[in-house]
Amino acid sequence: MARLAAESLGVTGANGGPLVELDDVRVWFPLTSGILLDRHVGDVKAVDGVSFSINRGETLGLVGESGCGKSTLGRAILRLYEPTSGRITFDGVDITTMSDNELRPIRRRMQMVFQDPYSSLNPRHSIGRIVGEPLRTHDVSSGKGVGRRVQELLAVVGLPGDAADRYPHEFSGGQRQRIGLARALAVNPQFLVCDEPVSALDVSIQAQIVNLLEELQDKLDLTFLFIAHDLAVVRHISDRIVVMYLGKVVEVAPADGLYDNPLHPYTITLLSAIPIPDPVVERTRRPIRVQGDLPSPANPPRGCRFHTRCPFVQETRCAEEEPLLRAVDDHIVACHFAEEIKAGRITPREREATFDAGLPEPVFEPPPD
Amino acid sequence: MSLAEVHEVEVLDERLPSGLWREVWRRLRRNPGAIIGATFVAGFVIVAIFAPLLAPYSPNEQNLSLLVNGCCPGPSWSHPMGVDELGRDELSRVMYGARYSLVIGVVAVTVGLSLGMLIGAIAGGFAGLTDSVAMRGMDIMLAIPGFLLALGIVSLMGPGLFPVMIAVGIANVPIFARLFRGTILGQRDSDYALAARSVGVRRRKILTGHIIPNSISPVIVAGTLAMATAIIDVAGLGFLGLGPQDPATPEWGTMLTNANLYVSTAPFLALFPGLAIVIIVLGFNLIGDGLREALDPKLRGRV
Repeated sequence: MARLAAESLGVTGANGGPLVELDDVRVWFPLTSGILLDRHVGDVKAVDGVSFSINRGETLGLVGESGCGKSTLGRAILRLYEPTSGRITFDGVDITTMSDNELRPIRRRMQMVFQDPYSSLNPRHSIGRIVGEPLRTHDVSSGKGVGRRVQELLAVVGLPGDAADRYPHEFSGGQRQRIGLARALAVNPQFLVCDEPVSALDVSIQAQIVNLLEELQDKLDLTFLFIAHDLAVVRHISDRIVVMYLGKVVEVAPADGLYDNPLHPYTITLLSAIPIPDPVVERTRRPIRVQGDLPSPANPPRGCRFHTRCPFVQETRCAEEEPLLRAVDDHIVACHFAEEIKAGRITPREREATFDAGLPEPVFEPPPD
Repeated sequence: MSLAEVHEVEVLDERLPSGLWREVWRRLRRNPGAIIGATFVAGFVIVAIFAPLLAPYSPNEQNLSLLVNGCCPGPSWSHPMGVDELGRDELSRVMYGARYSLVIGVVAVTVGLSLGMLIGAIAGGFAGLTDSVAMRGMDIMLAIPGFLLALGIVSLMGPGLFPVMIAVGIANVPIFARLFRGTILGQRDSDYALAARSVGVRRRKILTGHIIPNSISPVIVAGTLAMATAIIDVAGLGFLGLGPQDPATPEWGTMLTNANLYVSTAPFLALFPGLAIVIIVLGFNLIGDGLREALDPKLRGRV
C-alpha cells in the first residue's frame, strides 16, 4: 500500500518506472485589464499544485467535471500551455522550461488526441497532408516515403487508403477521430494524451474508438493519459484513475478500487450520479448529490476546495485546513474524514443549494495615475 | 473489432467533391444574387477593356454644332445617352469611365488590403505590446470617418486621380487590419493550430501554413465589398473636385460634378454616370454577399 502511494505521488514506480512525472504543477492564467498596457489583476488557477506519475504502459484515467482543469493539465504536460510553476518530467528529462527547439525531438515521443474531431483538423489540408505533417516536421521520411507511411497509418486506424486525397469535411466524427489518431501515431510516440477523445462522438462510435485505442496500446506499447468525464468509459480503459476537483487532485486509486470503494466525498457523489441499470434499485436508492455550481477557479474556497458543496462537510477543519493527499487503504485521498466516511460514522446530508464562491472577489483598485 | 469490419461500417461517399475552394465555387454558382452581381461586373470589365471598340465616338470628340441654346440635346438614336455641355457623346464617356472606376476600385482595395493584412498579421501574429500599439493606431484612424480621412489625405497629397486612389485605400486599412487580426486571433487558439504545435511544427510555419490561410476568407469578402465603397468614395472625391484635374477625364464622379450646372436642363447627364456607379457597386456587393455565404462555415455542408 505504501508502495502504491509512493508510486502515485511520483516517487518510485514498478513496471519500468514512471514515464511522466508531475511535481506540484500549477497552470495559472493571468486575468488582466487595462487599455494600452495589461495590468495583472488575478489568476484563474486552472491547475493548482498537481503531482502524480504515469507509469510505462499503463492507462491513467483523469476525471472531473467540466472546468476542473483536467484538459488544461493534459495540455500542460505536452507543454501546449506553459506551466506557471512545478516540474514536468518525461522519461527522466525535465521538460518544464525547455525551449521549442529543445522540445521538438521530445514531441516525437508524446502526442495528443483532441476532443473535438471537427476543429482539430485543418479544413484546408487534405488528410494526406494532415497525417504526413508530423513526418515532414521531424524529417522521419520525405517524398514518396511520406505517402507510403500515410497509407500505413490510415490502415492502422481503419480508414481506406484513398482517404489521403480527401478533405476533413468529407468525413464523419468517428472517421475524423481516426484521422486525428493517425496523425498522433505518425511519429511512433510512446505517450498519448487522449483529451476526451470520445465525448464528441455518438455512443455507437465511442465503443469503436475506445476499442481501437486499446488495440493500438497493445500493439504499439503506448502509455495513455485518458481524460474524460464519462465514468463508464474511464473505468473500462484505465488501470488507475486520478480524480480532479477545481485544479487539485482529490483521489488516486486503481480503477476497480475507485469504483467499488470510493473514499473522497467528491468521488462518492460522482459515482452516485451514475444511474444504476436496474429500475427497482434505481427507484429506491437515494443518490448523494452535489449542490450548486463549481466555484470560480479564480478565487477557490479556503480550506478543502470541496467543502462548499460537500454533503459530508464537518464543522471542524473542512473550511480552514487544506487536506493533503494521504494513503488510505490502497487509495491516495485528500479528505480529513475519509476513514470516518468509509466507516459510516459521518453520513451525508442534504444541503441547501447555496452559491459560495469562497474568498471575496479580488478588489479592483483604480489604476494609478 | 477487426479492421475489415471498420471498412464496412464507414463507407465513404464517392460522389463528394474534394477541396474547399471547389466547394465554395460550387455554392457560389448556385447563388442567383452572386450570378447577377458577377454578370454586372463582368459586363463592366468587358466594356472597360473593349471601350475603344465598343464606344461609338471618342470620349473627347466635341461636336459643338449639336448644342442648342448653350446646352445639350437629350438621348437620340445617334447619341443614346445624349451629349454633354461640350458636345461629347455621353455613352462613350460612360464606357470609358468604366476603365477608371475599375482601376480605381482595384488599386484602392489592393492598397488597403495589402497594408491592412500586413498590419493585421503582425498584430495578430505577435500579440502583446506590438498588438496593442498597432491596434490603438488603427482605432485612431477608425475614429475619423473614412471619407473625411481620405479627404484629408488627398488635401495633403494634392488633388488628382492617383492621390485619390491611395487616400481611399489608406482609409480602408484599419478595416482590413482589424478584421484580419481578429480572425487570426480566433484561429490561433483553434485545436488544429494546437495540434500542429503538439506535433512540433515551428511557430512561424503554423502562422503561415495553418492560421493565415484559414483567416483569409473573411478578408476576401470584405475586399469585394470594399471595392464597391471605394468606387463610391472616389466618385465622391471626384465630385468635390479633388479627382482628376483634367476636366476631359471621363471619370464618373468628375462627370457628375460637371453635370451639376445642367441638372435642371439636362438631368440625363447626371443620371447615366450615376446609374453606372449604382450598377457596378451593386454588382460588387452581390458578389461579396455571395462569397460570404459560400464561405460561411455554418452553412457549409448544407447543399
